[in-house]
Amino acid sequence: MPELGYVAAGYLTTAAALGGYLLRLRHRARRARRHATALTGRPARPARP
Amino acid sequence: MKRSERMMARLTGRRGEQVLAGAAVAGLATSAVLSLRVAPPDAVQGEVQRLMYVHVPAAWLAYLSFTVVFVASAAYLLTSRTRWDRLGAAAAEVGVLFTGLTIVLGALWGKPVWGTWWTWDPRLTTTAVLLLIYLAYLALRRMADSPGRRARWSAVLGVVGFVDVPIVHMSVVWWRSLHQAPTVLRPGAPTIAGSMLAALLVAVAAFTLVWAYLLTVRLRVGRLEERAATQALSARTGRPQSNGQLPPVVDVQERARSDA
Repeated sequence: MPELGYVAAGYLTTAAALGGYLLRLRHRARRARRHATALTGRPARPARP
Repeated sequence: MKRSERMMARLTGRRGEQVLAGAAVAGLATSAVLSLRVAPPDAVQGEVQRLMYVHVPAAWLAYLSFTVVFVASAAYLLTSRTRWDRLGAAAAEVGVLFTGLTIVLGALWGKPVWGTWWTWDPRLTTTAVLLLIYLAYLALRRMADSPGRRARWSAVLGVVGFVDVPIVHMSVVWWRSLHQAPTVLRPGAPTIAGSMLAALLVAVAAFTLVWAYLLTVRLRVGRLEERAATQALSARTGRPQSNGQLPPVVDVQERARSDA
């Protein structure tokens, strides 16, 4: 692999890891809200800061 | 609410999250331009040295995350306040992400420079151990059967596991290593060209903003998941839990016996 290939792979891996983790967190937040709504019958409030 | 708590609430609120996200994106764009276009290639390694601008920030944020886990764990053991447990869990998860990223980026840098993806060098080995310690921390949190026990066990591991962080940092000084010695966090002046140091510091600042953003989002997700778990417990037991707080620590089997 030429030198720039390693650099591109490194930057793309970083973007994929950070972006993927953020998407995963969003999915977990949606699932928790859906779960709370299903239990209480009313939409979950946004989490308290 | 105390002043410090108000400030923390503002920082971790949705508005604070949006501001952090904007700052992180702007920081990353600036860092990408500086590290890929402005900073010169290394005299010996050439273009591949540009991996330093993502590898070093990732390693720094792994250290920072586990320092937060250590402080939060110690604070939990002293105060038994749930918020410290929640902070420790969030920081450990983000720290594992950055440690994994450090190892992968190091392998991508090592192949063209050292001729191998991996070697049992002291720095690489202690970093792999660090990853395993905090993977064990996250696994432990899934194993415990009550919130109190989970918080106590993981806080103990959060304090003890931190021992490996200074070992990782000093490994290149204490033992003969293929990995280069510290160039910035070392006694004396940094041994790196000024333009490279500037690009590196901007990259560290930008990635620290990303880290802060991920940590605040992870904290919010943690609160949502705890609330869902509390409501599930209330629905199962028929006893409402006050103010969305975690239920008092009760052994699950003991509770099942008392309910029967």
